[in-house]
Amino acid sequence: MKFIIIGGAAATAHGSARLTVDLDVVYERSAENIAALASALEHSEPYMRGAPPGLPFRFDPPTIQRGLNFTLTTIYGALDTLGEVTGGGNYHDLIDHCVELNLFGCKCYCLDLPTLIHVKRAAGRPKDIEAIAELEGLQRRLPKASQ
Amino acid sequence: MYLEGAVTPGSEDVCVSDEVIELYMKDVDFTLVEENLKLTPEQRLINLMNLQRFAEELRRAGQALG
Repeated sequence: MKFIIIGGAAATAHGSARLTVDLDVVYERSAENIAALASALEHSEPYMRGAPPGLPFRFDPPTIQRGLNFTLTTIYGALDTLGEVTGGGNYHDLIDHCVELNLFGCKCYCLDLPTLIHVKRAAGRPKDIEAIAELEGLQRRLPKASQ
Repeated sequence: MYLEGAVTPGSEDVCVSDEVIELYMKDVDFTLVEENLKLTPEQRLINLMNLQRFAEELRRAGQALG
């Protein structure tokens, strides 16, 4: 499945010490990958975060095709599956701005630190200001090659 | 434009000024960051998951108090 880790979890992977309680990923929107995403979450009970319980929601390929960004609850925790992200665009726009990480036996793409900072700045959310300050300081502590 | 092909409206707006970021940076505890930099990315994420579990336990304990 093609996806990129962004947001707080990506910040943690780079060295951030801030606590985040959700996982944000940008997924690729081909029919094949959408089917893989739906299949991967099939047994995780994905449901729209903040929606009243009991709605007839199925996180299946037609639903994903009709939508774009989904903020979900799952049995493993909060998961945001994003087709596009403000300031960064879609999977294809971001893939050249990633680092490849070996996490738990899998190779995963994670947004690189300069792009993560750019995306958080572009989002312009007050809650991100402290996170941006930490990431900017973190970036200054790293050799260029490791970002 | 920073990323060619970025399509979200407003994506070129960088709303947070450098001056504001510099002010906030003074209050960041970078000793925590420096400790994290000694770890691998996987170790950092494992620590995050442990911290999330601890935060959830604290939340549950707080709710049990009423």
